[in-house]
Parts: sequence; structure tokens; C-alpha cells
Amino acid sequence: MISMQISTVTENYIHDLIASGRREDGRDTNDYRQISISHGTIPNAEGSAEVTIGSTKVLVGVKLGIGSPMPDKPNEGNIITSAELLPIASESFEMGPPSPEAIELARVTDRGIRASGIIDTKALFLEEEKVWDLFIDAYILNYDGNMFDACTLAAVAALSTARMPKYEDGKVIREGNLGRLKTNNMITSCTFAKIGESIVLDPDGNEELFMASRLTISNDKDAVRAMQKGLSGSFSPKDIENLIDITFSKSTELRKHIENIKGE
Amino acid sequence: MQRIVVPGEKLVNTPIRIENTISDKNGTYACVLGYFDEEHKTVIPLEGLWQPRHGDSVIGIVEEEKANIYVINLNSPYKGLALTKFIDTDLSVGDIVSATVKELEKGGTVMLLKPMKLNGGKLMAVSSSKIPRIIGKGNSMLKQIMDGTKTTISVGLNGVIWLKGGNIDLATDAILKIQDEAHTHGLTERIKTMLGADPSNQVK
Repeated sequence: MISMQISTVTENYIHDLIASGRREDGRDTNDYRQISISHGTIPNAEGSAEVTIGSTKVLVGVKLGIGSPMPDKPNEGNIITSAELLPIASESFEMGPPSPEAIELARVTDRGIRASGIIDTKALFLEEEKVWDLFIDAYILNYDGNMFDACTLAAVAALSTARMPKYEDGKVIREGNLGRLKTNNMITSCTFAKIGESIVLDPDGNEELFMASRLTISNDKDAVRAMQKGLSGSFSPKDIENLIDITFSKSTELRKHIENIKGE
Repeated sequence: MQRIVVPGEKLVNTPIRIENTISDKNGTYACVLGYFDEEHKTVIPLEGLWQPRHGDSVIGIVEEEKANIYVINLNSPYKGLALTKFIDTDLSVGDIVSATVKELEKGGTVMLLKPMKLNGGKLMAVSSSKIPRIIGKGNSMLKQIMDGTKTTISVGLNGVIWLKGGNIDLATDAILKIQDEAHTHGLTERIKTMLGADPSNQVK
């Protein structure tokens, strides 16, 4: 596909469209694209989920292994989140060591999960010098904007439906009748993009090319748990207050998706 | 009659020269997944990138500006080159140009002729194998969209389309519909209904 990144015509078109309160795919400013979640996609993983938001497609796998605790937290298990931007997803993603975008994506997902206390890391403690390592690996299979919300949604869906392996006499048992991984909370995130003077929810690929700044707000039912602002543009305090309100109303919608697959 | 062929499939028992095929003394074989028209002896690929040919009209984005040449992104492995001396207006990186392919050069570059800057409007990229369907027989489909939406549309054979004015949203929807349903019958009628059914399209 041709890269629209440098096209001034596309930039002006997107700016004009958003300034007049419209969007390329006909959505409203605060609308998500079609979201779908499926789980159990990877049979060998303890938990997995595939999330699509419009054309963006993310696969998250959760795996538990035995590791040693961090020196500053000897009684707690570890959560290790990583994200990979596969070259198959977009022509702008390259092979090689993780790009700054991939690191940011993994850290934002990780921060939301940690801050909301979905996983009680103390419960991952096994015995002296032995704890569970909880790996959350995100793979971007197709890129069309808003990887943050898709990753958080997929990670929470994968954690909520993950199996908990047993640890007996120094061995890990992954087969048989296993219980579910205990999750205490549910977190979702909403990403906003500022294009010109307007702010839109769930930016798609073209909108992300020309946005001045980006804000991701992660929240659960009660409070805002984490935030991440990207790029060089700015948001006013009033903007942010507004966006938090929108986030709270939109997150009920997102939580329903996870509750649906949790009930299955 | 048309039938779907897969790469390596024997089309005819005699060696004949058809695009997207190879031949030996025993027969001619398809190189791509596509439709084989036995009557006209053509193979139309279902997907694929644009292969430049002399005389193709294309649309691209100026990617680089050098001393006497512009490098143009053509949505293809080939890069377009346009000499500055043939252009009246000054171009800068990010501008849209339409041009005609003059010749292919060594090293994956395409020499372009008569580059013309396109101002404003909107750019969209579609699969280049669907471009013949979007244009239609003797420009019929394109003319239908242009008449129905009052939009100026310029189509590059490389799969890049530029639209300006009129009901751009409807024109975009129509083009995407053609792209998705290019292989089906009765598409012209469906596009006609689609263009006629939109009330915002009524020109006063």
C-alpha cells in the first residue's frame, strides 16, 4: 500500500474533515469502531485473546512459568509484558529489536494492569526464591490505529479467561482439571487523538498519521488508574477533564465485551 | 467462458504468449491466481501489485526533491522519476502528481512524462488489479460515479485514486464497493441504485 504519511493532500483532507466534526469512516467523534473479542485462540498458552477494533487486530497470549523474584520484592511474583509490532501488520513496521512504539505499547498495557491490581502479585509467590512469572505477550497482526485500547482489551480478556497451572513438588502441571487464574478487577483504556483543535476517540490509521498528540486513559469502575500522553502536542486541563468523563461512559461499553467472554 | 486458475495450472496445450503466464513446448501455464478467459485468451489476476507499462497513467506522491529530478512514490516496488525541466509549477515533498509512464529503467525506476500537480481533494489507495473494473468498459463505471456524485475523479492504474468536490463520501463508498465486489455480476446496476438512492446526492 502507498504510504499516505507524506501526502499533504491526505493531511489537509483529514484536518478539514475532523474540523467539520466528521470522520473518514462516518463515525461520530466519540464512537468506537466495531469491536470483537474471541478467546482461547492459542491452545498452548494458559490464556489468549484476539481483539479486533475495525481493521486493527491484536493477539495476546498469557503464559505462566517458574522464576525467581525481584530483589526488592522477594514475596511477589513477576508480571512481564511485551509487545511486538509484526512487519505483516503494516509497511512501516520493521523486523529487529523492539521499536520505541513497541516499548511504549507494552509499558502502557503493563501500567494499566499493574495499577488496577487485576493480578495480585503476592498470590503468585510459591516458596523461597520461587515465584510465578506471568508473561503477557501482545502481537499486532494488523495495524489500523489505536493499538493501545486493543492491547489492553486483549490482555485483560486473556487474563480473565486464563487457566492457572499447578505447582507440585517442584513440577508444573499444565494438564488436567485446572482452575482459572484469579483476577480481581477489570481495566479498559480509551485513546484519544488531537487533530487540529478537535479531539477524537479511537483514531484509525490515517488519523494517527496526522495527530498532534495522543492521550490514553486507563480506568476501572471506580477510578482512573493510569494515563499516557504521546507526541509533542498538548491538552488543556479542561480537555483532560472532559476526556475522563467520556472515558468513564465508554468503559462500561468495553467492560461488557470482556464480561461476555468471561461468562462463556 | 471464464474459470479460476491457480499458478502452475495448464491453460492450453500449445505454447502461446499471454500476459501472466509462462509457456514451454507442451503448453501454457498460469503464473498467478486469477481468471482465465478462454475466448479472449487472457489471464486477469485476482490480486497483485501494479506492473508499469509504457503509456500507463499513474498518480503518486512526491517523496524526494533532488537537483533536477523528483522521486515519486507510485504504490509499487518501482520508483517514479520526473525531470524538473518538464514541470511548470514547483513541486514539494508531499504533493500529488498525475503522470504518464514514459519508459522503464534499470534498477526499478520508472521515467514519467507530463507530470501535473493535483491540488486539494482526497487521495485513496485501492488494489491495482481492481482498477479496470472501477474504470469500466470505455470509462462507463467511472463516468457513472462522476455523474452521480458530481465528484472529479482521477484514476491511476497503479491503484491510487484522487477525488475532489461533490459528494466525496458517496464516491468513496462506491469505489470501495466496486473493489469488494469486482468479481460479481450485475455490479453496474447495484452501483446505479446506490448512487441514486442517496438523498443527499440530489443536485438542486
